[in-house]
Amino acid sequence: MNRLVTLIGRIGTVLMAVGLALVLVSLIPTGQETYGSSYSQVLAASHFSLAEQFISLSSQRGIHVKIQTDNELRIYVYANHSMSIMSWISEHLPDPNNYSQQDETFMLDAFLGNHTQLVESERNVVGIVEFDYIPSRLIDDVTLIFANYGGSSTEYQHWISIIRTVGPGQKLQTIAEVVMPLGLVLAAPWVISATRRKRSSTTKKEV
Amino acid sequence: MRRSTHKGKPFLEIFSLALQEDYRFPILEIFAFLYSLGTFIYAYPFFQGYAATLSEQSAYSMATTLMGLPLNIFIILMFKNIAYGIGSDLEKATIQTLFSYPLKRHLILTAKLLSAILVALLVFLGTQVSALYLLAPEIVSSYPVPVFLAYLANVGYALFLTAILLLLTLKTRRGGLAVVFGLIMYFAIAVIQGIASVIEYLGHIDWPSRVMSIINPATVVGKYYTSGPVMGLSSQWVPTFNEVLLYVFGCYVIVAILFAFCYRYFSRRLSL
Repeated sequence: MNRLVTLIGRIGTVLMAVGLALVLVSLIPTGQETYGSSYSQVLAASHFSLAEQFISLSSQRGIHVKIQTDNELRIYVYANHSMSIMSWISEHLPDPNNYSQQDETFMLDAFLGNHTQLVESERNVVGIVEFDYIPSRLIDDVTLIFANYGGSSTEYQHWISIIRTVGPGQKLQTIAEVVMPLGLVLAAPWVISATRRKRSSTTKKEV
Repeated sequence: MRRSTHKGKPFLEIFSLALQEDYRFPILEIFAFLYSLGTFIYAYPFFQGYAATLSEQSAYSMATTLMGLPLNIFIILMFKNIAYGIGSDLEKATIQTLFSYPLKRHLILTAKLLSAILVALLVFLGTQVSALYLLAPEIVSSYPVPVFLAYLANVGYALFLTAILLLLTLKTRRGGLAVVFGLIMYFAIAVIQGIASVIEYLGHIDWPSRVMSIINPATVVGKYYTSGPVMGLSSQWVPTFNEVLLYVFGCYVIVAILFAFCYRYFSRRLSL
């Protein structure tokens, strides 16, 4: 019985040590560096534009996007290269000779409807908005899609920076939140019994 | 049935004693902490560069990058357990107390080795596998073979070094001396391996690398998955997959022979 308590207790203390290491890794500050230069563009009503980022992303390397726009825009983070979007759209144009339609949002909606698994995130933005995108998996290519679903043209400008982290902070913290209390629960009986044993041996010595 | 229970209890007793000795609080906790921290810190450069792609080569590079520091910690932990666990028992003659248990000598050594090697290996692999699945699950699930071979080869080399250290400990019966020899051997092999690579690249001969691959099969696995030129010099030896398997298997055969020799020595020749 005593051996079992020791074994479970030591598993608990090991889990706590691992949890502590994960917390420490998640607390290491992230680094950020500018990637490319800022781009300014005017987007006509019901049109979209693409900005491919030629970088591979992972749970330890993401992007920070800052965008300034005068009207509402919808931004999609798409996990593939821009050529895949344009080639699909040009193959599925309702009128194959009308190339002006390939930049229109209805074609984008048709494309995204068929490739939902590659849409990593989407959000509406207006004014100055900043957001981070750190994928949970390895992505070789990422494309930002800016779509203007409004009735008037919009001028926008965006800046990209690369975020570097030692570990996937959020994931590590979640694991540490589970592992550390579990370790504490497992270690508690062993710590209590060890303290009692120590106390009783001290009392015996005094007597 | 009764006989196996009769033997099982003293075996567990010795195993438990060895565990207490090898992993006195907080040694195991410190090593688990270092394994976890080292794995993530060492993974950092891999995921920041352009190496992180979905390919066999990338899977192999990721595995070797992740196990960089933790592998050294693993080897040091095994060295400590062998030299100061078994070594100090021989030096202080406390091994005689263990010989008084109703157990054959080879079972006593097995209990000691299970504590010294298996527990260290479980903590090492447990941390590594969890980190691999946490950091890049898609690389591991798409290319499990290079990842598995990288671990198999490196653990084989670590076991080879440990078997030599165990042999030295049994022969000299002095843990401190054995661990010094072990560390010298560890660094000497690393230097010899570097020399073998230089000879291969500059002298256009491949046998030094082949010989080193028997001791450390990580060399041949590395050559198979990263066959491109190193510092502008092309490798003379591009092994086939079957050759890789043969060298890894060969290393484990040598490890098995060395451990068998240790068992034989411990069971029949060791006198106190």
